Amino acid sequence: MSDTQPTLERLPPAALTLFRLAGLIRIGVYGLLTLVAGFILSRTDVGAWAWLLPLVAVLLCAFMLIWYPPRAHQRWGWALREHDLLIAHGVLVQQLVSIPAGRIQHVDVHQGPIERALGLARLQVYTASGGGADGEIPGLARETADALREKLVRREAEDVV
Amino acid sequence: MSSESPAASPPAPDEVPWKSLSPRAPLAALFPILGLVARPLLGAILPMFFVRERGLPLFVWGIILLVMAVSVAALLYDVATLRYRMVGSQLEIRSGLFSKTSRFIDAARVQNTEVLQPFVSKLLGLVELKVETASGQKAEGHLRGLTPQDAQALIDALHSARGRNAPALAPVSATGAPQGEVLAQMRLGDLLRYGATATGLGVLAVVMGGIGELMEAFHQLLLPWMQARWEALARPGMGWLSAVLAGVAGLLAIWLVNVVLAILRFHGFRLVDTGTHFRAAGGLITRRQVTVRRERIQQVVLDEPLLRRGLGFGSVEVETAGVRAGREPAERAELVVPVVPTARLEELVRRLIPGLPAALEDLPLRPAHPKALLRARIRAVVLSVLVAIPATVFLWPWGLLAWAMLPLQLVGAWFDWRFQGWLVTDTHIVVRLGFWRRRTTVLHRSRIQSVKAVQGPLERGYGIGHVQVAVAGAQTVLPCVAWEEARTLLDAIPLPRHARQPTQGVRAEEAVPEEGDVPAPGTESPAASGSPFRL
Repeated sequence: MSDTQPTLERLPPAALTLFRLAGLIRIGVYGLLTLVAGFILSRTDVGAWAWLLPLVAVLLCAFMLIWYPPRAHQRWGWALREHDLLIAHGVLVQQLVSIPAGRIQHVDVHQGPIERALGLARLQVYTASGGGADGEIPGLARETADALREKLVRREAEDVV
Repeated sequence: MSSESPAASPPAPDEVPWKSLSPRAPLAALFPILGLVARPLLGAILPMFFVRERGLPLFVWGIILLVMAVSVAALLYDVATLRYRMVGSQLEIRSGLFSKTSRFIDAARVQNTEVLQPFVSKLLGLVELKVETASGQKAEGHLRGLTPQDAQALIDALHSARGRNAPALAPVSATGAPQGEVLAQMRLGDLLRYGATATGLGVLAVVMGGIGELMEAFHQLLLPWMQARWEALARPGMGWLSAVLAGVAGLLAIWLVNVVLAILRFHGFRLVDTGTHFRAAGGLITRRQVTVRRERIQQVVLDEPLLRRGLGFGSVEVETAGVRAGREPAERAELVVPVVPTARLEELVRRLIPGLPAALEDLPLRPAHPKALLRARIRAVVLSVLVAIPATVFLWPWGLLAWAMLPLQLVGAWFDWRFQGWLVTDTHIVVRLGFWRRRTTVLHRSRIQSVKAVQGPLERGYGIGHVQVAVAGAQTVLPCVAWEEARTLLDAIPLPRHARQPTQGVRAEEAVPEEGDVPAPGTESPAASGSPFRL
């Protein structure tokens, strides 16, 4: 990169708590879904073996709960540079996204109930490319998200689509 | 609606009278609305059709029909009460009586206008006008049931609100000489070639559906006849003959459907360069006229499958920021020129997206990273094994034939890897992918919205990655490169901001010059200044 390996801003420690809570919710949702599927399957020829399904699902989710959040937290990073906003993330599939300055159409700041309780927010950056947000940073401190949004939207838009 | 000058002071909104659609508009909108309402219910209705007497009870059908009727009535009411007007540089569309919805579309944001004339509208002497911006999956403004004169007046008003005086396009019903240079024109022979070489899952689905229906007739009519003559048909060799005949019949059916679809979509197709716009019109039952502003073109794709290359032609797809839905790339493209002789492809691309430093065939495209071949081979083996193992288990012994996929996939992977390439010039990006279905994408670097470097787990093992470049309404993936280079390209590919900015006194949408497209004087892109990716 031009300013070779820019120093990325990291997410606050509370973001790790957010990722872990999201993992817990995932265990609950997948556990419930597979429990229902297991119950239905247990009424067929599969019999008691069907209960292995929710068991495996919960074990996998529990493993992911321990393994994934610290790594995801470590990988998330962002840098607001002169020419662009750079976002890095991904554990299995690593991604680096560069959104040139002046291409940003609008910026959203979301806060769900858990994020609100932790004082965090999710920033979503949209360009004219369509098909959803081009860049997203979850687990930002609310103040940081607001400040970043202000900086991004105040940049001069080029309006060349 | 008369043309309005942007220099004059805009009238107060209250002074601008509303215009309504033609009184015949609800009639013209009836069939499209029926289709719109019935389509979501097809998934539920079709299975009922096939289960026959075990289907839904009568009262449920009554409820379904009642819901459909209410929906159709509400939508027709919406059409009947729709009003529109130009206030200053904004098109305002208002619909509904009790619950009013107003939509404002700024003329400067309009990407394309599209004039459609479906069969029923043609009978009624009306047209549909779609006004597309870059904001969504469908047209922001859709006016069904305008007279051609009103549609033309509205397009002209949008055009002059942008500060131009020349009319954007001729009325749909206009005949005679085209206003501009004709770049492409389709004859029936061209469409037969295009249809016969087209591929697509949609066509396959239609054919499979048709075969499903024919099977029922087969069991009722043909099977008793065959059973009566079973001994003759069961002679040695007749099984193979039947299989070959069935295969040929299936291919012919697919080709026939493709040809019919091509004729329906592109009959009488003509692409005209008006100087400021490209205008394409064509279609047998529904006549579609698309007007694409020259400076709004985001990328151009040359679609040249092997069969078409052998027959000496290719297709050209033009993408703008007006996002369209569709399964196939050609359906998503804003404008498609179905048949362009290979010798003329270069000229057409230069006209649509000027500024390439050399002919496309002469560009020194960079090959994909050597380790990308290994990745492609692993993918080919995994895919083949995943298909062949179940086929062998469940279709023994004929399922063994599925293993023939493995060498074919490996050869295919090599061809696709060997013949892909990419190049970043001072102003453009050129990407070529695929051997069997070769697609060459040309886009202007000043159009880039975002760039993404992606590295999957397999790629990480080989130290490679790939780069996705997004322009408004489309996305292009470059062939695999070393991961370090992918990271470098994040900064190097988009033109620097100072090179994208319009010069003083030039409107923003005219920032990209029409000819020669080079960075502003005094500026130098990273490519020009000798960054590592430049060739």
